[in-house]
Amino acid sequence: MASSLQWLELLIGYVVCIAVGLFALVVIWKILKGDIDLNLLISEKTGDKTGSASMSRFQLLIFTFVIALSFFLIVISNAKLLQTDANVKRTQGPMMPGLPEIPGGVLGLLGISASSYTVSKAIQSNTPTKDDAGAPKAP
Amino acid sequence: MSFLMNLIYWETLLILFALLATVVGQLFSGGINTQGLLLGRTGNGNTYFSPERVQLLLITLAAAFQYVNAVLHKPTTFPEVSGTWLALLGSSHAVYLGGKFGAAFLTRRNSSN
Repeated sequence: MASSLQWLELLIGYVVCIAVGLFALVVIWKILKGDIDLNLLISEKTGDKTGSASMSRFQLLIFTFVIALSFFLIVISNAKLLQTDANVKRTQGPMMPGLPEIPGGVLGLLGISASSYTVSKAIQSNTPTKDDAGAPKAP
Repeated sequence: MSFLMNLIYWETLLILFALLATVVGQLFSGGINTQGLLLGRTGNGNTYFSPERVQLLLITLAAAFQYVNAVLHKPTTFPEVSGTWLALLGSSHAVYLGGKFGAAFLTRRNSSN
């Protein structure tokens, strides 16, 4: 019984792994072909059609890659450690790797970035534009 | 199981680096619009070279590099971000927002005159 469950677990593992791989391959292929347009990935509307690049969005992009890479490295490293431990302590039952705790400092880092983006947007929306200057004043 | 774990490891690594390479490649080839990244904009549409954006970019890159370096040294837990880095990044954002606020204030004053 346990053996058939293990087979099922393995089968589901392979199916999910292949599905995620194919999905990622399609996404990257479409980006390279130009079907998924990344032109305005870090831009925001400025009145003209092209938009101008936003420092806040660029910062969020960098932090996203940093956190994703760190998360992956930590999970894999913990899984390998548990695998080594499991070989030594087989008597203690199955050991499952948990997701790593995210420390307050990382949340603070993302919080500073997000707050700055919000304040920056508030300043931008309260700044009179060319159109405001040309428009007739309300009575 | 060990083969499946290896497969997951290499697949995730490949996906992450392929995405990273794609984004970085598009940033440098012009596929992703970076015009105006280092330029501030006043309300009347004029742009100016913005040193506060440059310092924010440099501090961000330094903080990201430092964090990845810390993870690579001890990849078992998320490393704590030190108070110094948080203060540095906070001050950098304050300078950036201060510059933006100053430009907005001047624009508002000029438009009301």
